[in-house]
Amino acid sequence: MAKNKTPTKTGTAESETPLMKQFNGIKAKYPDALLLFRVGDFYETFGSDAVKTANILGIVLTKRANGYASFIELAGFPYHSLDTYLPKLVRAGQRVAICDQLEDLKLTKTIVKRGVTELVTPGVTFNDKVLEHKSNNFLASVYLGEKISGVSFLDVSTGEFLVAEGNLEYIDKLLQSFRPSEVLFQKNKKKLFIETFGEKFYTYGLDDWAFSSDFGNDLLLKHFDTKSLKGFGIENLKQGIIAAGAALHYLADTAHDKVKHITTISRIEEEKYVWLDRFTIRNLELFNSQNDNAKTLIDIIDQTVSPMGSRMLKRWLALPLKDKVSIEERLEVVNYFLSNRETNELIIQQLELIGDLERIISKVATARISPKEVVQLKRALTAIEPIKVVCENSKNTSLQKIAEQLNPCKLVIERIEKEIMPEPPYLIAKGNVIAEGVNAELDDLRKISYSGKDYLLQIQQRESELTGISSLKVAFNSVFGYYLEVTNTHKNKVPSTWIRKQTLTTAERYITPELKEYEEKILGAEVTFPPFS
Amino acid sequence: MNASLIGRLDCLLSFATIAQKNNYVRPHLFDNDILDIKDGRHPVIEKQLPVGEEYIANDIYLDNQKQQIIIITGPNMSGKSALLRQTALIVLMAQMGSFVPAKHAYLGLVDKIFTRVGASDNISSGESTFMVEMNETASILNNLSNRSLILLDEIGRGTSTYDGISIAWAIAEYIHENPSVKAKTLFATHYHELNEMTNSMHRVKNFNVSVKEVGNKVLFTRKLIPGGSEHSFGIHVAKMAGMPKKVLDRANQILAQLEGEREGKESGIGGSERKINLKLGGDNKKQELRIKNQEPRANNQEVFVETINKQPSTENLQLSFFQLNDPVLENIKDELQKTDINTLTPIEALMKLNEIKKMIGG
Repeated sequence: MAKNKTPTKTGTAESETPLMKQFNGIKAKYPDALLLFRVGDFYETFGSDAVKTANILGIVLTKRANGYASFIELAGFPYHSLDTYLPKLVRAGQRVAICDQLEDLKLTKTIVKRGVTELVTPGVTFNDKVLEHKSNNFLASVYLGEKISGVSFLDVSTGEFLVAEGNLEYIDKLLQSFRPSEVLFQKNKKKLFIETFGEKFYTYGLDDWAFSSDFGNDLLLKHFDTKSLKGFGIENLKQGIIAAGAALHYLADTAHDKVKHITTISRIEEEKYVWLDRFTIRNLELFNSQNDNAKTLIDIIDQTVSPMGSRMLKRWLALPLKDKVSIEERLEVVNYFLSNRETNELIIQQLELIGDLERIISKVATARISPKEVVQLKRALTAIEPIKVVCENSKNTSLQKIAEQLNPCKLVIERIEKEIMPEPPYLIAKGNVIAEGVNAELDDLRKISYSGKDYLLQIQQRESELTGISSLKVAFNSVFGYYLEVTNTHKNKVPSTWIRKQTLTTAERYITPELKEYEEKILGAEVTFPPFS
Repeated sequence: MNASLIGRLDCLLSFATIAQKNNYVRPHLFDNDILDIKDGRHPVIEKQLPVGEEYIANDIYLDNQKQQIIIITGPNMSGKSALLRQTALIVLMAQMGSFVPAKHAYLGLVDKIFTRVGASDNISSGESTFMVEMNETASILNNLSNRSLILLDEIGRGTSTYDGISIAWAIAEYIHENPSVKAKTLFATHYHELNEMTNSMHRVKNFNVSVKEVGNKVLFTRKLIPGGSEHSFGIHVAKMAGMPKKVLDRANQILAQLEGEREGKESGIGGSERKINLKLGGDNKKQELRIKNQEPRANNQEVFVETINKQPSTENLQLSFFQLNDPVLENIKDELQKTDINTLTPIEALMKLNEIKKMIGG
């Protein structure tokens, strides 16, 4: 990839800079993704990526020297604007690889190690700005088989994983119902795929080997940590398993390794739902209309208050039931709500507090949750208890059944309450996240930090009185840390235990063992708990 | 688990909210083949009417024994499509577990819903609209069941009138005569010729969306009543759309001429050179659909221009041009016969006029 023989830090006439060498190396692994390359406080893009980025985001495209007589296009934005810019790139249909600095700048003498920490594609993202609250964000995977084809739908933001198989018509209908944001398919069947399903989907071709029976089976077993897929009722869906396996493979490929929140995979039971093919879904204008401004059925019937409700309603509309008992059960609850207005309002009030519980839980599992969201989780869970009570006391059996299954998660609430500050910041690095009394060392360090000034003043005052040096000052510099400064007039009053470190024209600087010990604590605190302040 | 329970509660509350807000009723569900909707309304359209205007509710009754297929005739804009769709939407909402916009609804559970709209404007995707229409329809016919609900809206519209009627007829017949399954079907069309099907197929019933002719104007009552309709009102609609009077007068004249001609030679009205090979049933992959559309180019323009210059340009005389054996005139005749005024938008009508004008070298 890199043409230079001996990369040096300064960059000789023929070689690329080490930074560009590193960039090219990483870019080679993600040739079809736009690479956001973290450089200091910026995410930079280079070359053709920069041209695209500048175009999509409307930011300035610059050029910079890259070794001898060559220039490379460059466009970038500050790292904290990632949330603003990333969604725009993804919505523009780009696959975005986010490459971060993997080690602390201060701890390395050479170039910082970098690596892709996440590959964001339209179908695989956790970013709140990319995700539509009211809809699922499905990644579909289609395996075109001989007679029967398989399909799987995975929403990493909620952990839902569905699988089905059938003829092409059925797959087509499901794609229309679930409206995935991204569809995976076999690279070598591209032509057939486009012929069958059209070009309206955002697609990504995977190599053929990712779609194989053994591979898929192994991946699923490994992921769910089970001996067979019987428990999920999908062990006979050979084609479906292939499709699902490819989806999991794609997750790993896009650096999404923490996906344990995907705890189950279920079959879309064809025989349970009314068959609506894609023409019908389109003609009846259930979700979309050919006229941009026209209202659709979902606009009329969706009066849900939570994102979970809204997403589920879309599913219900795409998959109406055929079984009388289950339909009557729903109707019965609706009937109950209609005749018990107070119950409605009580539940709606609580639902409004819940927010997007489903996606927050997924963020917990993927370790992407922000401190603020942890507190939101507590608020959401707290709202469950009253709902449970209302349902329990209702005279409707299916509501009672729901009440039974609702878990108020008291332990989680208690723990969050005890351990997290009531109003933590969005970014963990801002500190003030963990409550007092959780970790003694943290509390101690916090005390030092808060009372640091006091403590230093105390030392200053005490020493000043002891030695009679009225102009004594405690200060800090990066070379030898905390020190005591004594002006030349008082030089002779310095006790012998002080160690002289520096001589200035007007003053001398000393350190003491006490100061050093204090200093160690402070620095240690920063290393152990970066966000301790 | 919590999340999905919360979602479920939320959905059901949403159903309660809309039921109360929009005056829905609880549907009665049965394991049978009867659909009986009294005063059904279209859930979306009824919310968009101007203040003070009330949605005209309609009854629909279908079963597999006596009234399996309903042919709904009526002019464009009379609300045929809305009626079809509201039936499907009511069934769909009911089976989601929601209350429905009707006075009452007795619904036999449905396992498949198909809807097809003739000649939906698919021009942007580059496919022949008729081809698309036939593809879509074929997939229904291969997937029928006793519990299916089929809505066909102006199927056959994408081709010439006679082809269209024939295909629509054949499709209805197929559904009716299918020995193993009886699928409930609503068929909206403006081909009143299809009303004649009741003569030979006893589970087909005719209904029409009534219109009143007041003076020379059409009043849409949007009420479904039993019986077929006599003739269509496309030209009236064109008038409402603000077509120039000249065009309307001319259209009326041509219509009279064509209708007279049709009575003359009942079958095999020529002109259309299309051949359709439609094999229905079996694997839809095998479905063959060949459309030959040979339109002889106007190769004789000078002659025609000469002719037209000689002739005084009164309308009646122009009509008699069709009796000439000039190929260009034949073309125009074909073109006019192929044109179904009922399906034309005003713009399309003007374009057509422009096309015809071009044929005579204007």
